[in-house]
Amino acid sequence: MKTVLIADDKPTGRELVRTVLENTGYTVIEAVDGNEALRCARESRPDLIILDLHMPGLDGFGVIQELRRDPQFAETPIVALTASAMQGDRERALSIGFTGYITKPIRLTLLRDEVERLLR
Amino acid sequence: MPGSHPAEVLRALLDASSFGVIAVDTKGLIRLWSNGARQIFGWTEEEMIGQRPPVDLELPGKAGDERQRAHKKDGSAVDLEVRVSPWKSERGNVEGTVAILNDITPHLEMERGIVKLMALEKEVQIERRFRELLEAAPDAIIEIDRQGRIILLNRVTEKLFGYTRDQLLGKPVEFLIPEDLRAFHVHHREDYWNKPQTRPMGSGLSLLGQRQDGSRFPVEISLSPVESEGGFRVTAIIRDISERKLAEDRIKAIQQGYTQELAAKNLELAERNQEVERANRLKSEFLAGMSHELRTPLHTIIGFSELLSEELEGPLNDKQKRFVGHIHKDSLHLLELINDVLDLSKIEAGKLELRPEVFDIRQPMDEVLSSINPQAAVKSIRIETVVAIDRELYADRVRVRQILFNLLSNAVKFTPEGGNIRVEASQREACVEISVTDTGIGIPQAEHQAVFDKFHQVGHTTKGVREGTGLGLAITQRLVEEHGGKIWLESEPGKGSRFSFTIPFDSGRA
Repeated sequence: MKTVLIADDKPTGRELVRTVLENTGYTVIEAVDGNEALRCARESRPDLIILDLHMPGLDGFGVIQELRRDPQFAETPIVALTASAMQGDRERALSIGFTGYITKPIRLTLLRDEVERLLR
Repeated sequence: MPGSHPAEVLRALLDASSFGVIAVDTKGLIRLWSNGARQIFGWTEEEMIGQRPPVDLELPGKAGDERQRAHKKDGSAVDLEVRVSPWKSERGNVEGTVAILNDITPHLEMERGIVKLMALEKEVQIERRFRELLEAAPDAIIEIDRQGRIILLNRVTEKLFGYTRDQLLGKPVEFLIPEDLRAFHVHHREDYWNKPQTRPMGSGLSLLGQRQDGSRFPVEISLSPVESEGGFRVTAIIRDISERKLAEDRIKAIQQGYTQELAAKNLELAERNQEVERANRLKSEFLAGMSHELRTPLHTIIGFSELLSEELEGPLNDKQKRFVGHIHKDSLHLLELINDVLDLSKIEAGKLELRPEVFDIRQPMDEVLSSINPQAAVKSIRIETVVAIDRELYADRVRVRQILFNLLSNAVKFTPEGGNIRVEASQREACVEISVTDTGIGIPQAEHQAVFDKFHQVGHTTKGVREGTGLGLAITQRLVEEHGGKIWLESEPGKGSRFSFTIPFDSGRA
């Protein structure tokens, strides 16, 4: 069974993603901020990581920079999750190493499809 | 005694005349010397008989009068008019020459006198005219000699400096200058004599004048060197520029005032611009932040309502299902509203950046149709497209798609079941013109402009259709205009609507 790490400082946001993905059959680990996301990633070596870009302390950009430096995570699909809808955000995220980009509010089918595509 | 001319009679006649009559023989010696000749020259006949005449009677071609200057017995000069004719005997032989002399000395003197008088008169006239000019000049005019003494002045000079003519004539020109500047001026004056040249008014010669009462005033000076019989002199025109200076100072003060005011205004403007910029930036930041903050809870509202309606966590009864559906639908509407507000404020803040690329208009059209078609199918609306364009566009593809999407989703929204929608794209000069025609409820003429206003909802005619944000057409219009195109509406209630817009083929290069 594939493991997905979801890092989001909002508990409701984590629960939503967890529910959707568990329903689909994945194991979900939660992290409440960037630092915990780094620790969880290194401990559990998830198959896919979903990072909220906007978190207090170490944000999603900080986490991915840290992870991509680690050869273990060079190939791990990492998806950005953000409520920001400014022009150029997607390009910026993809250019620094994100594999996917999903905007909040998510549509459930889109999330399922994207996760399935990346873990295929 | 007619016919008889005794020699005595002739002699008496000759002597009675004031003309001098002399006769010389062929040897040039005087044979006759009349009383008139004696009166002219002072010599008696006894003295002169057998002598050579004191005038030249031998000049060749002599005929008629000739003027000669001769000398009297006392050595003084005498001007004569001389008429000579040959002296012939009764047989016609030339015996010598006779001459009649007319003393024209007084006559000539008078002539010379007249000429002199006339010249004098002319000089007086010139002098008078010169004086007139001198006095008519609005400026003080003085002439100074090589020693710097005033030798001529006009009345303005007297008035300007408060001295009389007599007080000034012969005084050094420095008399008219404040004491502390005099040495300096003498030095300058000497320099000028070494290199005299005309210096017109206003060529940088500014000086202070001093009146008799000691008051000072600014003057401007022009200098012209004059060479005359009396020697080398300089004419100086002195202009009192106190009033002009005053006016200049006043103008300068006014200008300065304006400049300061302008600078203050500019500063104020720059500050206000900065404020506006700052406000704009804050607005954008606020919008970005707000959009983020609003989307975050919407994320879970939409997500959980969708999750509930999937009934994966357990079945819902019909009412629950309907309620969850309401939440889901309204939260999606709220999302749309947020997106549109953000979009519009970006456009209005001038933050919208077009990202032009080359594309075929069919491409965004197909994308829009594929997302609109399901909605249209629900209402059994048929969408027909006619594309007559063989040129690619250079424009913002995403925004053109947004324009098309807004117009088509409106058309679907306001077209009743079983209606038709026709999308036509054609070439209009340098633009592509696209129209979306529906068989919907139509819009009254009075509202044709207002439909492009923010939050405008077409009143009762919408017949309960109150979806959308009321921002779609406002955004659409601005997107079209950002591309340099136009958008307009043709519609009548009950007869459907036709929205048309143009996009220049190379709007991305504008």
